[in-house]
Amino acid sequence: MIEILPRALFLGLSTGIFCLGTCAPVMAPFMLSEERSAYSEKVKPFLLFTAGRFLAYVLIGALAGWTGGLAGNALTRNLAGISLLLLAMLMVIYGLTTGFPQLRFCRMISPYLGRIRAPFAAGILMGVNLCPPFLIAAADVFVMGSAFNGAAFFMVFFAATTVFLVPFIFLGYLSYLPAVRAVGRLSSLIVGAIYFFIGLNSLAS
Amino acid sequence: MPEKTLINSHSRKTSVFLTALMAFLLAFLILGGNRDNPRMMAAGAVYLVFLTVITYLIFRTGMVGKYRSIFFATYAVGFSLSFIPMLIETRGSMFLSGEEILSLSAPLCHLTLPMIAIPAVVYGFLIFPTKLFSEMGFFPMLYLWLGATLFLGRGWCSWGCFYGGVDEFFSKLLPKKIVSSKNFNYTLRFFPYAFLLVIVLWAFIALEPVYCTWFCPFKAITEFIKPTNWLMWVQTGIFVSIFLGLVVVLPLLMKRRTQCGLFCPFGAFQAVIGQVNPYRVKIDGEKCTKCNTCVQQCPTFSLTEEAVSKGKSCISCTRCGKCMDVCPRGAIQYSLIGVPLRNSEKGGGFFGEVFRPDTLFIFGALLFGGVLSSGMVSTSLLRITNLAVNGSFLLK
Amino acid sequence: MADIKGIFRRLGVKFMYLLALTLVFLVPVFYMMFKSGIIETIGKKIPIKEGTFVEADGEIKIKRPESR
Repeated sequence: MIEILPRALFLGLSTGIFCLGTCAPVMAPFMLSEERSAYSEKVKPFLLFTAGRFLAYVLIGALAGWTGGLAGNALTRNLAGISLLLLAMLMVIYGLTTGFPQLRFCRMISPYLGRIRAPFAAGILMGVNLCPPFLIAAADVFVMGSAFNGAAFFMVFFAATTVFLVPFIFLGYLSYLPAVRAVGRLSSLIVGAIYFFIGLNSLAS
Repeated sequence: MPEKTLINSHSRKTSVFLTALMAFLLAFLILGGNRDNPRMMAAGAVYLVFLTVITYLIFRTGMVGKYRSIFFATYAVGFSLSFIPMLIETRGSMFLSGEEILSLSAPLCHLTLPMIAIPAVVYGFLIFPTKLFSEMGFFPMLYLWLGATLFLGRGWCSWGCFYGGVDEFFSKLLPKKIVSSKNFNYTLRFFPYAFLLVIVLWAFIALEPVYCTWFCPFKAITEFIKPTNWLMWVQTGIFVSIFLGLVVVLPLLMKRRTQCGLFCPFGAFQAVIGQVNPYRVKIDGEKCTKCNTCVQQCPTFSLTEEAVSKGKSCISCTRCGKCMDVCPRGAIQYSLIGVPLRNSEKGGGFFGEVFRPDTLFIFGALLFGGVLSSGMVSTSLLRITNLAVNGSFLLK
Repeated sequence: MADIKGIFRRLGVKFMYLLALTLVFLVPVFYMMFKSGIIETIGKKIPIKEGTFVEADGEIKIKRPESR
């Protein structure tokens, strides 16, 4: 049990830069798009996103540890594809409702979006979407067949990678500029469109 | 209607002096580099005459936007007419093959620089299949970009970029705009910045120049990978559509440079980094009557009503000079940071005219663009001559 | 106080004109340096490698941290 934790820590720290790159296209729009005055408000999307990722990691870890490995390649790939499609839709809806609130569709959907807390949902979907190289590297850990071990492994991995995401908090300070907010909202739309295509592609192949 | 004040015009004496100085420097830099090639020397001389005439017209009339656009479109046409036949001569087609990618012989252009920067710093590798020191390799292009940023800022997009003139060319073809931009949503102006953010991050994740692979419309006039599977056909469809839509059709209909103003991520990059350049375009609040002629005509959507009321153009301004051409009051001018706006009624004499911010900017920008374009335009002139004499664009 | 501000402003204006003039002079210098070999000299000191792909399989050369 103890020996897997340093491994998770090392894996998290060494892949952290890559995590930063992967999460940045999703985190950046959330941090930039809305004007927030209070300090706690500025950190809020970051915390929500991180909480979403945490939840996803613990769930996946426990599930993987319990079933003794990640249940088949096809299933994980499909899960990744579906979560990417959902994430894409979320990003597009978020971009539209914040960037073009006058559209009728946006006025209709805004209240619902507020209720699900977009950054939290995005965190979950991003966390579920594990990158294949990581799955290969972590595969041997799950042979132990314990839900607790799996969850612990993923929690340590989560903590190590989160270190790299902290700089995003400072992006929140830029959102006081209206131009930066417009850029954030539009980038949310672009990221959504790209992820939609990637998601479709991974489901089709 | 009151007579239009052209704020950038110069007296005949000053114009002749500036033109002579420009011709001398251009001759030194253009012809000096081609001493061993008499044909290129002759073509260079023809282009030199063209540039000299453009210089005189810009300084004398003050119609910067108008005569610059003739230079800029000529430059872009010259680029295409020299680059495409060159590819056909060396590889037989415009297709970029797998071997060329593996042997790193793809020419690099400035548009890739923002994408390759982060992977270069993090991994110490170029993610674009080009050589470090070849003629159109990484370091020469980096050097060129550093110079462009220093001398022109985002003025690069109207005085130096070999693609920008294609947009400009199509935006000048029709006499009147067909699609009005009255209801244009100015939020779209921020698209290039958002797009830049996304492609920079995406290129870092994918470790490939994703903008080149998926979007770059100018592959249509340079080189592209031969589509062999459905994904490549999708990529080809995307870049051809962007080229036709944003570089050809919309500029024709709107008379604006839609690719440069609403799409190009490098333009956004240059707008931000180009702030190190000391020149700005400012609006004299006392003269401006808020007629919004400039807002409706700015080719890159860099003037909004809000910007006009603040007395300056947005950072995306490419210093093209169009607003100064069309302003009925001569209220818009090139200026330097921290330098008070000048009064156009004041003549200032010979030295006063030479040491004006607009004179200094235009002189430097035209010199930079003129030398940069000379090789491409001269080669295209040789190719056109060859077409007339031997019936082929190819020189070999 | 206003006098000092005025002096600094005038100095600032002079500096900007000097900068602008220097930039114009630097354009020909910039092009003359292009072929002088300075790009190679400086470029070789920057630790960046070309060669994005492995020739044999066309795979990207960069080793991502997680693919160990």
